[in-house]
Parts: sequence; C-alpha cells; structure tokens
Amino acid sequence: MASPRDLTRTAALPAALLVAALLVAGVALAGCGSGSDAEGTTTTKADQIQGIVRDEPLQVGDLSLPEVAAGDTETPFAFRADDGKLLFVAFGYTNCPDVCPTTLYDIKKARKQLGADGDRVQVAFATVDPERDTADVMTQYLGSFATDGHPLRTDDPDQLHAAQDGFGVTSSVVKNADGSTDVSHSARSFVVDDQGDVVVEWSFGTGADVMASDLELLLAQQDGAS
Amino acid sequence: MKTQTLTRTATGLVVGALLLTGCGSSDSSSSSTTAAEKTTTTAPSLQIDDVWARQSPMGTSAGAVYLEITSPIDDELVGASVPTDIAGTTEIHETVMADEGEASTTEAMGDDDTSTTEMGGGDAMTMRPVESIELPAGETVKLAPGGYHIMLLDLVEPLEVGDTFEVTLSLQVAGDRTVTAEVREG
Repeated sequence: MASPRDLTRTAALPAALLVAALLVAGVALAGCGSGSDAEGTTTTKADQIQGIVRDEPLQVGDLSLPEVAAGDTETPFAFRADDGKLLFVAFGYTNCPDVCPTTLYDIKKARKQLGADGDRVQVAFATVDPERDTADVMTQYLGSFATDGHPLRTDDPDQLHAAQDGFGVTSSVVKNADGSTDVSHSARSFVVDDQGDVVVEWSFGTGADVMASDLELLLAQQDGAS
Repeated sequence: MKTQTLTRTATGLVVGALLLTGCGSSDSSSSSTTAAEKTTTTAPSLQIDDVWARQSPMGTSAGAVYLEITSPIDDELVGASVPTDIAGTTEIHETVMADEGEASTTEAMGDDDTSTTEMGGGDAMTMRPVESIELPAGETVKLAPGGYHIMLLDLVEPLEVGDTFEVTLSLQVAGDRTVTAEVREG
C-alpha cells in the first residue's frame, strides 16, 4: 500500500514538525496550547490580564435580559455584578455540544480554582435559541455548570439583539428544510464588574487557568478600588 | 522549570491535578506525533487514543465525542456510530468560524425567516457536518473541543462521568474500528 506519495510525506514531515514544535513550544507552555492570548507571556503565573482588554471598556450595566427560573418566573437581570463581585457572561444555546459546554466548564473550573473567591464570580448564560431553550431547559442546563447561575432568555428578538449589540456579539438561528437547525454565535465570553463595565473578554479556548488568573487579578483590583 | 511547576501544583492540590490533565494532553500529543513519524515504518498500525465524551449537561440531548487518531497510511474518517441506546444519531461535525459557514448558508437560505444579524463579531462560530476527515499517513489528527468532533444527537440518557460506551469509526481504507469512549467531566 505504501505509495511514493506516502514516502515523500513521511520523509518531509519530521523536519517540518521539529521546526513547528520548536516555534510552538514557547506559546504552548503559556496557556495550555489552545489559548489565543494576544499578549502571550511565558509564565503561567501572570501578573497582568491575559484576556482582551479594551481601552474604552464596553458598558453594559444598563442592559438587561429576563432571568428565567423553573416554573416560568422571570426577573429582569442587569449586566452588572453585585457589589464587590464580577459577572461572567456568555451567549450560546443548550444543543451546542462543543463550544458552549467547553466555555461553561472552563468557568466552572476557574471558579473552583479561586476557592472561596469563586463565589465572588457570578455566572450568566443567555440563550440565542429561545425557541428550543425553554425556561426549564435553560435552568437545568446552566445548573450543571453553576448551581447559582443566572439563565437568561427572552422571546423578544429585539431585546436579545440589544443585549448582544452591547457586548458586540452576534448570533443566527437558521431552520433547515430537513428539520435541523443551524445556530451560530460568537464564542467570546465576558467579565463585567460592579459598575457595568466589561473588564475582560476571552476568546474561545482561553481555558480555565487563564480565566482564574485574570479573575484573581480583577477581584484584587476591585478590592483596591472600593 | 519542571520543579517550579511541581511545587505550584502541590499548592494547587486537586486543582493542579486537573490542570495537568488539561495541559498534559496537548503537550504529550505533540511529542508523540514526532515519535510516531519516526516509528511508522516499523509499526504501521492504526492508533486511536484518548477517546472521551464530555458529561452532558442536564437539559440537553446533544453530546460530543473527542479522540486522537493516527493512521499509518493515507486514509479518511468517513463515518461514526454509537449504539442506539446511547444516541439516536451520530454525525461528524466541525466547529468553524461562522464567516466561512455563514456565507454559504445565507446565500442558500435567501431571505428565509431567520434572526440573522450581521456577523460583525469576527469570532462567531458555528458547526457544520463534514463528509470526512482526512487522515494523512503518520499524522495525529485530533478531534478536540473547538474543532472536529463526533456529535451525538438525541441522547437517550444524559452521559455521566465514568460511563463508557462503544464508538464505531468507519475508515475509507481500514474499514470499521470500534473503540470505547469514556465520559469525563470536561
């Protein structure tokens, strides 16, 4: 079966791989490989924020979405952390098998890493697919990652879009003729402080350790400011 | 360097252990890729490692299986299946930036009833089914979060940590291979 093509491939690859491995090695050490931290530091113990920080922070404190609970009760939930806390926000949908549970599991792990301070990080997850994600589904789903989480859901597309615009994210839900549904959404997640400012944004795949490190620094900053 | 990491891990206790699992998999796989290249000629066998599925959150009927596969010859992963008491449908999917996927979807769908807004975020992601995944000889291809995965639809029961189930992979050349997936927390 070994064709000439196989032979050239195996001969050429090791050298290329070695070079690639050397180049990648430094980056991989910093953030468990998959991180896309722009400011790639070489130490894990960072003394500065590794996520994305804007010069002019997004202000989302005046935006809100309904928080749902089992039994269809709804309470307006503003994108602003409680005093002295931080609020993690992600948009997604529960039938998402890959991106959403990865991000939510990362924040769950990051909160665990923070120990007692983990309770100072609130978690909100807003569905971009309200038709399938009923209040019950949302409550159960987020409960798997944060028992004290805030499941957010609205039937009003304008309200959802207003919230998404505030965070600079987008989503689309397309129903196909065969009955399947294609959903796309920004995979970025956010941390909002008690002033309603977005203090850091994380690309997909940032990972729990970078999240925990950023959160620790941000909590300390917030302590210093108050 | 290593000692420092270990000291830190000791302080981190359980957390540290979790971290190492996360980091370890990517590190070890990159070095094993090189090793596999060198030994391909002596031991040409299909390797399928680290087969796992994430514990499925309550309320969802979708799951994903991840794995690493190294074929000794140029081959293609063309299908996957799990027993019907695990999930109703199994598909190979890829998570991609929505820009690529979206462009074609939007054109194909026209002005259908969608809530599509402008894809300005730059990091919008979506999933699309793929016909096959190329497995170039000797290269370790990873099915990992944020990339390729075997999507389980209509899960019969939630996947719980510690559960195992069989996954049958169909390869264009090598035929069917059945491996065992382990359910992990994440």
